[in-house]
Amino acid sequence: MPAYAYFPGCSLEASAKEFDTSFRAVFDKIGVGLKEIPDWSCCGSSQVHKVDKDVATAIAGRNLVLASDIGDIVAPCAFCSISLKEAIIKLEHEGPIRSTLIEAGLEYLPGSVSVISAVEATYRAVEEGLIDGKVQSPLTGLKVAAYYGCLLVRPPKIAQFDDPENPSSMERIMVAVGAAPVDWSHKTECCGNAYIFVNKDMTLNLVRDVLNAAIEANADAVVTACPLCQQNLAMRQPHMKQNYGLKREIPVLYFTQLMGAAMNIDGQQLGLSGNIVRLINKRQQEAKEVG
Amino acid sequence: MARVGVFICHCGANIAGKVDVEAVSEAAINIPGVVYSSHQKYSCSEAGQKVIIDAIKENRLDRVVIGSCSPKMHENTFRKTVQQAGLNSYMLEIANLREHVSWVTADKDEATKKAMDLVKAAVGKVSFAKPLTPGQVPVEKRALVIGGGIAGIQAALDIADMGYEVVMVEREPSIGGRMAQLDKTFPTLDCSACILSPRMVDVAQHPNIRLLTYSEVENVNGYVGNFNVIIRKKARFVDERICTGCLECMGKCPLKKKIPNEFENGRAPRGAIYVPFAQAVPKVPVIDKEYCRYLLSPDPDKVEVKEGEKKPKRKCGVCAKVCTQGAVDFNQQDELISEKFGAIVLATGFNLFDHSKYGEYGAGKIPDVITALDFERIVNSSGPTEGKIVRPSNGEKPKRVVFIQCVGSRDEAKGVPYCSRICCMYTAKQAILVREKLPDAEIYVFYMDIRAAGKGYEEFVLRAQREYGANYVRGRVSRIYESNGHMVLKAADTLVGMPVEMDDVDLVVLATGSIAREDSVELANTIGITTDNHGFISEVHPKLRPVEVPREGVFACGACLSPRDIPDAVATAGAVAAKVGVLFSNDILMSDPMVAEIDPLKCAACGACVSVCPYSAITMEEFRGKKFAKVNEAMCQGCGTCSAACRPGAAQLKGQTDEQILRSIEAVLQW
Repeated sequence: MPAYAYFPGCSLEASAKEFDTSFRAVFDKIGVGLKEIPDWSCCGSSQVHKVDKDVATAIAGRNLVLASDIGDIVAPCAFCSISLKEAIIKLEHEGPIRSTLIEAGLEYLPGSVSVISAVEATYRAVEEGLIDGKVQSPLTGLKVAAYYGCLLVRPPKIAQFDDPENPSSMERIMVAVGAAPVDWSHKTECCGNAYIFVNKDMTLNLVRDVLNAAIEANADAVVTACPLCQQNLAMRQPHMKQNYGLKREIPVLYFTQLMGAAMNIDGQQLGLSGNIVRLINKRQQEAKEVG
Repeated sequence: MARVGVFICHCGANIAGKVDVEAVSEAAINIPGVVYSSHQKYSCSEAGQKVIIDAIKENRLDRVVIGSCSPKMHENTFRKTVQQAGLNSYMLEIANLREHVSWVTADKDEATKKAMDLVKAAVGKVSFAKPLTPGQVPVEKRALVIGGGIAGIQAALDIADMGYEVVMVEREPSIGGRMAQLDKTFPTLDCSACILSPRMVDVAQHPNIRLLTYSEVENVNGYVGNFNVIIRKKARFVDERICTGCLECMGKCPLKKKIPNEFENGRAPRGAIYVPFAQAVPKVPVIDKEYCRYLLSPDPDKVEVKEGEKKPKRKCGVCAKVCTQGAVDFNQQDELISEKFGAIVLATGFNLFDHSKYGEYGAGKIPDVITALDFERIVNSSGPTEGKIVRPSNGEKPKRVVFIQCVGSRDEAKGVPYCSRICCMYTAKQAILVREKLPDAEIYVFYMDIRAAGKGYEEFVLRAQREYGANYVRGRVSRIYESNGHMVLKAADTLVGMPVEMDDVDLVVLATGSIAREDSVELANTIGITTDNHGFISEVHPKLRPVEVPREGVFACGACLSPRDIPDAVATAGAVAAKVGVLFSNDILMSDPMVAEIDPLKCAACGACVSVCPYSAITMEEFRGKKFAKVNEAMCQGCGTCSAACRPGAAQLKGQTDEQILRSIEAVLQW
């Protein structure tokens, strides 16, 4: 059984708890092991890299070293995976930071470990046929808009996964669990999260544009793989209909939550609300009646 | 005992700035065999050469070492110099003290020491040099031109006008190339077909030119003046000698509107029997065997028929029935033609970047996002819309037209860092054509920089802006998507420093950049030459030998060398013709004597050299029962591979013998 070194990151312990539980449940179901990196710390993104890039690289490097005994790292959060991937590239050329790590008793060997995101790990599992036979109630009739945001596939030199401008891996995953991905315009547009404290108006305009584009494409739900996108796109909706012209509210879910639903994993474990479960059932029923 | 003279060149400060030339010269006199040593400012100058000649004569030198620049620069100069002094021109060795020492060494002492070592090695080597005499080979005064676009046409006509025979090979059914697909040309707005088709006809009618269309070069052997080329003439299934070009057959083909026409960039259909466009030369159709119903149906003679069953009949065959001349011949086979040529001209042209790699512009899936070549066909009166500029999605006139430059050029993220050179100009031209046909349309051009370096080019772009009202916006377009039957476009205006969002865009034309032909590397391998990182043919020297390629007797012109416009393609074609003319002005050529020879007494007839020779220049011979390998000196390119593979040391490269190499190593280590 293949196994990954699992790096949850801060979001998945708090605001994105359901991403963590659903991802673990799905990978448990498909038989891919996740071993949490012992004593993992901050990935180096968020505030750190804005203050001191070398410190950020060193902090990420610490996690890389801790994981190197276990295997390749899967880091679901888009920020975490990009931060760790960038550290791998930087550490190859940054002797001084490697020396600092050695002083802390951590020897980083270039090439000893690689990092992928949850989408990449799942995409690989789909390609390898690991989910075959695991999809007990396919999400037939459920139309989803796969949303990648900024960091999941970009910058291409660091992400090294999928097409940076027109990615399709999440669509492939959604097809594998029976859902119908819609073709839409805003899958890699900015969700605006980074500017919420600086320019709230701009952020909310961006959120509206993304969600309205998904609604225009007739999606039942937006699926994402980034804790910040999910939070930003989901939690601001109630106030946006009146002042920002949001057409209607639309669920924003982690792709692993929908995968779990298709694999008959308990809704509570997935963090799926009753409303969503009912929506899925309704679509499945409609599809049955039509087909 | 050898009498070696050593001459150390300062090359101004190029060598003397880093190497202590006096010290090197003084040290050289102590090397065994050296009887004369001096240094001078410029050895290649007339005065410098005179010093060398005089020293050879006065000191009865029988071999010479010159410490100077790379032999690539002045080996030929100095060979002539020593020859003037009465020596065999191969009794010379050059120690490269510039490219190998002064230009690449930081420390002066190290540079001087390395220069001394190289001089020692050269003395060691030249001490065992033997006089060599070049062989003579006749020149076959016929040229092969590969590619029938404007560059190939110009080169063929110029060479043919000099009185030499030319064979032109074109893989498409007609000559004309890219230029035939264009509507108007910048900056004069001449009709492209009107200025091209007379030249196409000239090629067909020229008594010195033989045209082989629908043909490809399969194999090239031989050497300058004597190439053996095998050409595959693909089965056309129409006899060129009989066909009158009435094209009756085309109208009757049941598939006549079913197959995308490559000439129209797939925007108009053709049949299985077709000529690609009205002015095609030759005006003889071909039958596409991938589609033709007759050719795809099973051959009745090859099908096993059970007793009592009827023999199946071939399908269709309408074209053969309507042809009054009986020119359709379904039994035609590919023909392999073997020809001898003295020179080969490459004019294989270019391709256009595939914009499906631009996910941000819809990955090739938005119908109203078209390429500039699509636009050329659409705006052309013989094209798919008879010259009406319409939106492919609904056939309506566009009100807002956007041009985007640098799609697949100057974009490192897409693997094309270079500028395609022609896009700024053709975009300005297309903007003008939009204004002429759609007076009320809004026209926007998104650009990075305007590169309009050419006669009348800058003025042309300014006209597009000022007289034709094209709005030029400096900035990249980041995204295009469909919305409400139109397109939304997001971009940056980097002059204002603001993002731009444009709704209701009806038509987007992408200025897709030039790329090498997809099989250019394969062709280069067939001919034995090289390409750059992007697949364009490499020239010998980009400035001084821009139309010659590293295989002697092979030349290249037009856009197979790098992206270029029509005037540059035509200019390089003329240059190639001149080079071919120079070559053909010789009745015989001197062959390089630095080729391999095999000592039959030492040869063990193991055959190792035969199998490693990249030029098939070695064969096994037999004399009085003893087998041995023999080198065809005319075919040998002097690579030395056989010499390295030969265990008994029978194969030796003249001028680079094992003994010479060993002596030069010995010289560095001992003296």
